Amino acid sequence: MADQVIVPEETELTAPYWQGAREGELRIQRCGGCDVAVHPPQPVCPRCHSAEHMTWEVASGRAEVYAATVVEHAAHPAVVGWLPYTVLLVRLDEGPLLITAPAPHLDSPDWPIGTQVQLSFVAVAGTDSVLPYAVAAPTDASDAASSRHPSQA
Amino acid sequence: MTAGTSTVASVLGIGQTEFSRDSGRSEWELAIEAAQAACVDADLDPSDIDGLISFTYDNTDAAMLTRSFGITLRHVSQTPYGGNGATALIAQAKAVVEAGVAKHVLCFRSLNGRSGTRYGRAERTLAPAERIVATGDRAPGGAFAAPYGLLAPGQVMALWASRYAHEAGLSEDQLSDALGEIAVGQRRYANANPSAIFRDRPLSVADHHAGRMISRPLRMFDFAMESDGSVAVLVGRDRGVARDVKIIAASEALPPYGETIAIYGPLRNSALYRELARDLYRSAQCTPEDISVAMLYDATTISVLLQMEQYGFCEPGSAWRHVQEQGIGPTASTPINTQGGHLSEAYVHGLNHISEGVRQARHEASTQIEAVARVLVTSGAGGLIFGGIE
Repeated sequence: MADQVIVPEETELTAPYWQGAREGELRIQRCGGCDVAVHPPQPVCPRCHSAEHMTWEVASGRAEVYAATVVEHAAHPAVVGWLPYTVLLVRLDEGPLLITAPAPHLDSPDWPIGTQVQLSFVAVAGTDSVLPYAVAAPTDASDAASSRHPSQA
Repeated sequence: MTAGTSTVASVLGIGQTEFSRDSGRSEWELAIEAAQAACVDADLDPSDIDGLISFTYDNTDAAMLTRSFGITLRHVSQTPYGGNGATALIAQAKAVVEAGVAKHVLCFRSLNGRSGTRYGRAERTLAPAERIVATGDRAPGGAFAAPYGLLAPGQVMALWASRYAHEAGLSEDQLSDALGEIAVGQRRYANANPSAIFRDRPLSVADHHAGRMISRPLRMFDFAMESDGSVAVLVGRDRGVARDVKIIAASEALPPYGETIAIYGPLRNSALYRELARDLYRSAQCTPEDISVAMLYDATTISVLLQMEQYGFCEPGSAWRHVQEQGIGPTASTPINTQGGHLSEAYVHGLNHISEGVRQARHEASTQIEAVARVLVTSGAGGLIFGGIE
């Protein structure tokens, strides 16, 4: 079972997010009426309950580590080969929380809360699913904006 | 029914099976045994049951028990999100009884949580396959979580714990010392409780710190166990008899991302959840200072710290210091999880907290707190307050 992969189901609601990831962009929803950014995707704005004002935008990909754990015990056979692995909860600059992980091969033991990260895009090996991952952000914020890079590694 | 019967709902009886790692019996049989024991405790017969409320997670449903007991139910309902529903069962039973919809409502949970489906693992939500497709938007396990390996409830609680430590300004060692106090305090209670699975297994803070890391910063002894067993609670109108325990207040709450295990919402010690706790106190016309003993839902030790702050036993960000100074034992300002809790007695998804709350109110607990006036029992965002029996 070591070859198991875990991929996200893509639905009509979530397709723009996953297609954006394939194109190297973090796309999130925003309600044009309320100016509220939303993730994970919702059929309506949680504030004004409007569906028609919900649009997709390209987010900056900049975020800050909000919480972190290093998993050392596998809860499923599919991840035994990953151990130990880090899971991060990050606060996007646009507001919502997003679950991610250090980009593959960039895992370092420490991702302190408050660390500035930039999301980068990596394919789940052997699939056409692409996920955003965290890399430590360049200290100069203007560099961060241009560091987005699609990767089909 | 005696002339003293009031319209206020009380717990009339509690019942349980043996708690074990391998019951050797079906969950259906366990549910029947616990229900029968609750009826005996209430001085009623299973044929008196006319309402039944259970977990959506339970494999034993109402129809099975109607067949077993040959009863006709006048109220049947189920409550979702696992442990989130434990106190919701009682809140609903109270409403059903006080509205006159049913007279004797049985609330139960029955699970072979160790020998059967294991709740600490992900097989329940992620089927084994070469290519696992994660569905839905819940975390752990959904499309936005599982591809990163966020698969189990304990991993979500580890994220909560890291955030709590950050907000309280704690190092990982300081957090671990506080969590250890909870694990050890609950184990001491379990060592005095003949029903506890870990009754014969002492635990020290050093043992806690030496425990295997599961999901940093949470170690093995920070987690509830997986166990087999059933607990039933029978609710009806207060009969004015000595052992009926009044349900003074009961609440349910489901804010956005407020189901038991969720990641995108605020922590349980945040303003939102503190206000929900104040609501419960208001409806009980009491304050945290009036609570003699608290049964706080403990899937992990961090949940206990968060709820100590949520329910006003200490200020936000200070529970870690409070448990270092006082512990959670019988001499603490509010003793907590006095049967050993899910960490050390058994994990019956909150039902064994309700039964222990009833025992404390009746002054029948294995570690009895003196002069119990009010008992708090929590699960998820809702809670119960029982009145002590003078």
